[in-house]
Amino acid sequence: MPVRTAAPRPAYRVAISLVLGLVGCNGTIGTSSDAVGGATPNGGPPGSGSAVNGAAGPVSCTAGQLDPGPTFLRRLTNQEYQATAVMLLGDGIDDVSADFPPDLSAKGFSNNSESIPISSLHVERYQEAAEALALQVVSDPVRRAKVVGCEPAVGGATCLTSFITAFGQRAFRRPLRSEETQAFLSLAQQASADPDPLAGARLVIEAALQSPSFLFRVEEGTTDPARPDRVKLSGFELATRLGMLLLGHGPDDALLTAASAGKLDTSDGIAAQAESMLASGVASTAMRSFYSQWLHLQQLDGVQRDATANPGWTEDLRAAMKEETTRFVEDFLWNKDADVLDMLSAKQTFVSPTLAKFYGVTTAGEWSKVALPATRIGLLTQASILTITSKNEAATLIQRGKYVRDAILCDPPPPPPPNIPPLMTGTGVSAQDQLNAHLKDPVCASCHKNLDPLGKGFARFDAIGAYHETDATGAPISQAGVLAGFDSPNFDGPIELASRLRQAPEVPACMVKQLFRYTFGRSEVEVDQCTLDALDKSFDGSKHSFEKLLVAVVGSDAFRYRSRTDP
Amino acid sequence: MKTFRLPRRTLLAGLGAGLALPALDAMLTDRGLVYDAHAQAQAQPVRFLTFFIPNGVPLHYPQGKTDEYRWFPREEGDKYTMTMCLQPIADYRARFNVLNGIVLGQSCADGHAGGTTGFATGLPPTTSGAQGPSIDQVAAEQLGKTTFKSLGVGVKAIDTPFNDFNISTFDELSWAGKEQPAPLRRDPAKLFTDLFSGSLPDTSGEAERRKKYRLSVLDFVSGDANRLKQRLGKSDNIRLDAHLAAIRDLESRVMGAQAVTCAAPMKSGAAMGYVDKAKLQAELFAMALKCDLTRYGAYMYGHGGNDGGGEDKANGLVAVNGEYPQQHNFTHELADPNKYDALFKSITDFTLAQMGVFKHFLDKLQEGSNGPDDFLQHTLIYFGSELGDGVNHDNVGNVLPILLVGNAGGQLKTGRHIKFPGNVPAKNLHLTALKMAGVTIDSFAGSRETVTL
Repeated sequence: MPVRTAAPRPAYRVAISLVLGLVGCNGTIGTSSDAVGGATPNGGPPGSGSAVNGAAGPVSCTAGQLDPGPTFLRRLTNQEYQATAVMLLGDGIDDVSADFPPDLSAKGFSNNSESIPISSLHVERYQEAAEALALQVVSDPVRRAKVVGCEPAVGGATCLTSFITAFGQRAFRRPLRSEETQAFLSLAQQASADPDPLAGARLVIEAALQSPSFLFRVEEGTTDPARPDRVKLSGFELATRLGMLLLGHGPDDALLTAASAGKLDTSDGIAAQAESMLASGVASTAMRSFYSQWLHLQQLDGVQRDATANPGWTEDLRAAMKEETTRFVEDFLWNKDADVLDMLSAKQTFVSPTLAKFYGVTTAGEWSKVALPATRIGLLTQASILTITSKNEAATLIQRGKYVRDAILCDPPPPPPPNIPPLMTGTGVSAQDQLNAHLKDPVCASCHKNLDPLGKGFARFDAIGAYHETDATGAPISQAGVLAGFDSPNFDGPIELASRLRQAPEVPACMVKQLFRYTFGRSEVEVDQCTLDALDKSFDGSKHSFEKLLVAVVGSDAFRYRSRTDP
Repeated sequence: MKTFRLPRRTLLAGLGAGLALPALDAMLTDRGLVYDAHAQAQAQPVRFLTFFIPNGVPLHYPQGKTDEYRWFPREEGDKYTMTMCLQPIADYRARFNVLNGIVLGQSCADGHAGGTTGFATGLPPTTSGAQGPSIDQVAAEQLGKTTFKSLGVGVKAIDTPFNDFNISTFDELSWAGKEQPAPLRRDPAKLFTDLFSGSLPDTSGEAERRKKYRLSVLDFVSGDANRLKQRLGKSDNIRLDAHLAAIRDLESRVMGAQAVTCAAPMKSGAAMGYVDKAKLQAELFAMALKCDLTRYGAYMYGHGGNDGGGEDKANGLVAVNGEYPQQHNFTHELADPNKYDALFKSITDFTLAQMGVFKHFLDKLQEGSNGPDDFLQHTLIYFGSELGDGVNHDNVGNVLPILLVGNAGGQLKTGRHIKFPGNVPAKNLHLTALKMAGVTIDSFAGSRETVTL
């Protein structure tokens, strides 16, 4: 799209709900001086310690002796349930997880253990799902042959036992204990008088899929004689961690075999297993869940835009925006030689013809890599990111500043305070007037100095990420901004901002932190600083290779151990 | 006080038969009853629910203008002039009390999260979720005996988080305990199936066999949980205990499964707007109560911070200055004097649409039940919002638009606007309501004080 000289309508409107006061920055607002007294802004999972904050005190870190931090009994996410069910029962099974209560996000990720408890409604839905899936398996001779492996009508108890042993191990992600095999057998035998010879197998599938051994990622481990405060996870438990992280589901037969051969008992062994999995490319699908949550990409699906106010907005454009970022990010994540920090400063991207027109570039065809126009750079000026950081058909400086602080710097602002004083809005009030108002009042400014001036670097992009050099009145739009808290904070436009961010050590540290949260399904706490420091060092040493970061994560003590919990 | 004269055995038989409520009414009203409220409360438990609307209400128009009193009436007592926002439920004015002076009295860094989670728990949340159970769950835990021990019904799909707060603090209303949401059922088609097809409709050999199998499977699952509990530590066992409790609920449902004796409502397959979906969910919820599939529950119209579903002319929600109507954003934009009148009208329209849904719910509850012993006589609804006036996000002193609807088995005298001399913490009212619902309880959310109504 050629650069237009004027925006079709005033492009900026500040949603006052996002006006931030001093809560958590340095003071109070309004009359309620105990405004944050009741809340725990950094509340972690149940029973966790306080979250790491910027001023975390020194923690003593001894190599090889790192504290693995707290671990919680994690329920499978809906996505993990469905993917695991597909692995167990074969492609083409019903999407039963669509009826489950949605997993709620916390700290950016829907696999956070604090946000995925189990409720009566879950158990009700798990029952429905298990019954539907079991019926689907026994009703389809091909699927049944794969899952059950023999015909109970012919093989009788021998068939049932071999099915229970094999299926039980895959469902519980470890060999069954003898009492479990026995319990499954007695369950199946309750259907021995049933005219349907498959009734017993059906009950086994129903029971397995409703059992906590399937629904939760059970980690019992064995006590480490050298460190009574922590337990070492078994090979099978590690196979589950590896499977959930890299495959998006429970361990497949290859991982179970590796576990059973003792190949996952050492840090090197796990690293080797992960490397071979990464080399085969199996992780790329599963890791989409990580980066689309990290970069808030899934929010693009819910964006509402009016095509009149935003010329060019179509469903095709929305889909192209998402695809661009997906291709762009994966090009960095899975390229062995790529420094993933270059995502911020890349001068190229992937476009479809729709997107090429939107950006005003030429393209050779469907999804080719092209040079960006001089007005754009890297991830942060992609239409997807600029769109999800806008609200109600207007771009907001606050949202864009908040996005950089939250996703890229891991320094999110606190929530809005209880009492928000009225702020100037309406016709004749420019974005600059509003910014000035935020910064004039010291109460507002304590948080807003970190947000609006940073977001101003993207002031020339409207609510769907189209570029404008001038505003509705024809006046040039300034994109001079401030990255508060950084050395040489002043910058002019997204290109300069990208080069500041590319050099900032906070950025790789934040990426490590985001992957940590996703991998362990929890917020970081103080004792995790050692693990994070070690990962930061390794990440820097590898010139920010994502694959090497993944290998370092799975080889870490935090991955291989868990804290002992009271008996 | 006269005592209740209907033979106890007759009454219990009536209750045991899946409670065809209109029939029970007939038994009672044939005798022209004035009955002992306590005995009646014991015989026929109080249905106890919460009903939530988001973003507060337009409490007051600026002084001196017409319709200045939009929610709370000007006058106290039972002779008050009906206000604009209560008008949709004016037919029921004899059956509810307007409570004026209830505050959450607790602060939270996010007013919507604090007000929503505190609405029925009486406590401010942390970023991880509620810090205690909600009143509907407390009642259900102690008294719930029906097919659904409790039923939570919502309208809006779950959002992605806005800030550091777990999205459950905005999107959930019912809490089984600290950081344990009881998720709402948000899909009408699925809710319909849950309510009216889930219970086994026949007693054929196959159905009986499935029932037996389900119980065997649940036995196995409990066995697995108990074996794991012995091997795992305390913090893991918290989750396993929650799982076990849920399995027991499901077990009792399977055991008690029987044919539904009341008529299921027609299921609508048509695409519908937000307000109509809210009405359908309210209707299904009412039917579940009427059919005695549940006696405790929660209804959530939407959450503070969401826009309320867009333009919906049939339900009075129209665009303002070319922008689609947005309840949340408009409450904030009231600060602009040029837009004030138009925006204030729009947010009033939202409240009126929500009160229209509530009216529909009350109509459905009362349908086919008349006289002094109608459905509302044995019901108590704790109605309200997370904020008072939507623009004020202070959870400490913001006076909430609370209604108590129904007579709790004759314990609550209704028809009044009750203005308290000072602010009353919501948790005191929670405790009061729980006691009226028949819950044996001394304190709730740290409060031991009840409210005289």
